[in-house]
Amino acid sequence: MVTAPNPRDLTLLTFLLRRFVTLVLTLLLTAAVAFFLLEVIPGDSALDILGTEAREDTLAALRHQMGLDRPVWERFVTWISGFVTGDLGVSLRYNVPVSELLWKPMLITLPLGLMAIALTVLIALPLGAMAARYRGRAPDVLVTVLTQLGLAIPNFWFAVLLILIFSINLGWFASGGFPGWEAGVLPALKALILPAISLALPQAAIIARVTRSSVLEVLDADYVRTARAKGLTANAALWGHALRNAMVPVVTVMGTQFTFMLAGSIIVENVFYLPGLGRVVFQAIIQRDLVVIRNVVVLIAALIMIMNFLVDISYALLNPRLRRG
Amino acid sequence: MGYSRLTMTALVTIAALAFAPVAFAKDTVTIGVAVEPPHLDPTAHVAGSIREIVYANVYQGLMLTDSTGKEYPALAESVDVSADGLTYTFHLRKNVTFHDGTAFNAEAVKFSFDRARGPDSTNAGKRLFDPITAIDTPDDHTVVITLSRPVGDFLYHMGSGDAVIVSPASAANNQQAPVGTGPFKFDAWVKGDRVELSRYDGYWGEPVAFTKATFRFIPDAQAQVAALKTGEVDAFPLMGAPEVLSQFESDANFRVVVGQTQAEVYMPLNHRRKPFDDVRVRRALTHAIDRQAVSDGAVAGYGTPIGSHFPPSDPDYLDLTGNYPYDPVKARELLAEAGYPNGFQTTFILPPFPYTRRAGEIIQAFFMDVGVQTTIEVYQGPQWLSQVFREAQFDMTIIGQTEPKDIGTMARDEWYVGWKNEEFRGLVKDLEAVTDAGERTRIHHRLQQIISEDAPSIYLFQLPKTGVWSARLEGLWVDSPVQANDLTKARWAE
Repeated sequence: MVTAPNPRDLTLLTFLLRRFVTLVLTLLLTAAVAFFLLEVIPGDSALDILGTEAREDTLAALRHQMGLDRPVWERFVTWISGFVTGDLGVSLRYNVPVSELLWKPMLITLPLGLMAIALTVLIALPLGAMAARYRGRAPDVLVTVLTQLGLAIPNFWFAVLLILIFSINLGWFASGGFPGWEAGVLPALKALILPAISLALPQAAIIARVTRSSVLEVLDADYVRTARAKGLTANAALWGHALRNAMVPVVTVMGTQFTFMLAGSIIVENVFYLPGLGRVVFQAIIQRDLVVIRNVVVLIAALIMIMNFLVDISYALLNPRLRRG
Repeated sequence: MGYSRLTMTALVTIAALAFAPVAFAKDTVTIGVAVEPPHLDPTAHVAGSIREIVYANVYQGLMLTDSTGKEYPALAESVDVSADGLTYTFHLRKNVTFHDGTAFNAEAVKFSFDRARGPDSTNAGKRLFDPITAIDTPDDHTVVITLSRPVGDFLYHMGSGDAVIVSPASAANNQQAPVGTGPFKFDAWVKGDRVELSRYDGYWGEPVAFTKATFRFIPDAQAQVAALKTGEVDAFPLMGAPEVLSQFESDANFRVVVGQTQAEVYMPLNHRRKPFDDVRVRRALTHAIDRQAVSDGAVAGYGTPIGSHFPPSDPDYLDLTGNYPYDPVKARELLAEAGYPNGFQTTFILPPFPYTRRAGEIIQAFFMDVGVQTTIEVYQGPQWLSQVFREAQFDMTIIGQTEPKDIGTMARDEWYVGWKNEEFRGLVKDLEAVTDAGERTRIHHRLQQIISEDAPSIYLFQLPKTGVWSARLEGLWVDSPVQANDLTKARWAE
């Protein structure tokens, strides 16, 4: 027996499909811009590799081996068709497949990012909610002062501070580096703790403030007053009703903070010399590894678009009224 | 007071004894390096970061360079040079194997050199092989190399990283899994973090003191300091930021070691552009700069001021800095004489290294003092190489030229400075063929003098090798005659 599709599912499906087509087109455009813009940047990879003592014939031989003597359109098409099948090309500097170059760093930066996000949520939400619950009283003042501090301290400085206290003075953690996942999960996670904290704290300060003001706004809403009038305690009304509705602006801000987290990982990974994605990107830019840069640009663009997509979906889950849009 | 000092001494002694067995048993070493190498094959890339790991440790040549910059026979046991300087007969060491088990023999030498000089070669030092006309292998342990012209530095060149001997069986994989004949074999490369080497049990020579040697990549200056202080690295032979050295000077656990490199830090001026074709302007600009002040600001004063294109560590070095004392009044006079009484405007392109950028800003101030207005532009390395070095699109720049024995580069036609001095070019040509030490010294002196007189570029200081390592670590190179961290003689003190 065939049942008619639920009209609500259909809207969701067209919504998803539309978002997907936009995603692909945007990515293609991003790829084209990244590729041709990078082509304009002055420099010659063969010269970078062989240096000032190399002669023209040697440079030409290397350019040929790297495929750099082929026309620019041909190289663009090769890249895109390769990209679709997962072949990202070969790094100009390291002479290894880009996917190989990005895979292991990804296994550091993603867990680092997840740890940082988890820490952010664990610190920010309770603090923000508590500040709102005790508005104007001691906990609120304390949270306000702490978040001010968190906003004022840049994460690279915070990272150096953490190294000074926990590595050099207390000796609890290594001052940086990564033992590799093959050394075991615990040592690997341990190496990520300080970097995750220094990534998370400035984020947590922002999120805690947004949570506080958002919860405050909701606490004044009619339905919370109704809930209180029905006999719910202040805490029950906060956790049961207010917090969920206060989450929409918080999730929005967290979505945008995600990109800052990526940017922050470049700095934090350099301070802790973690071989993560941020460091690969940083190195690739400095060393003009165009093949790596253009792939990372497209991958990060994709990641951010997917992140925004997930944020949109989470709106819909948090607030059913937003599903019709 | 006497009592407490005695107690302290006793405590320290007890502590030393308690820790001694553990500490003395250490048979591994961890070396910090600032830059991760692009790959590990020195015959296919110019990068010093490759040589800082593999030179002499993993790969060896027929010759190698020692800590003083002198070549010595390594895979060759001895060398006979014919009277006309055209035939080199290398007698190879016997019972040498590569790390992959294949035998080292004359065939491997011929293979390595043919690979380096062939049409598909991507060897950065291919020009070193230019004089070779034939490579013969009369037997398994003899290689006869015939040259088209005598080359005074031929044996020295055979000791460079470009000329290491690779195994025909594994050469194609050397970028990711290097195989050589050295005392260390390659174990692992954790990208972005470290390269691990271990002692090669089949090594033909004196075994190294370490069972394992790890090279860790730590680019950030503060992270370098932290890694040394927490003991995560035992040595940082080349610290990125010389100003952090003072933190270690008072610490008895560390040694601060300042040595010489082969890098002359100088300001190439573009002779294809006015007013740099005028020797009076070049001399004026040289007088306008206080070199010591530049060294103080750029490398915390560890650099030796130089007056020509020659390293102070070389026995043939002449100190010519006195020819151009810091004299802004004289600089203004010379500029006026050249037709620039009010100075001129120019651009100053700086590569991104900390020492070049700092030196550039200091020099900008010195030039302003004599009326020369400069606009600073900072280029990343690749842009500098293509626009400044290859296309000569620049007025002034700064660079540390790292190649050893490179005074002859100033004689090249295509060189970006664009200086044409017939006497200099003639002498460089002569020098290539001269093997007599006394005659070489005489030519070296004259070359330095011509550069000082004609001031084709402004010479600033020799880049120092600023290192910090554990006070118990012995045998690391103090100077850097070639880019290398040769661990063959390094060991923990007993």
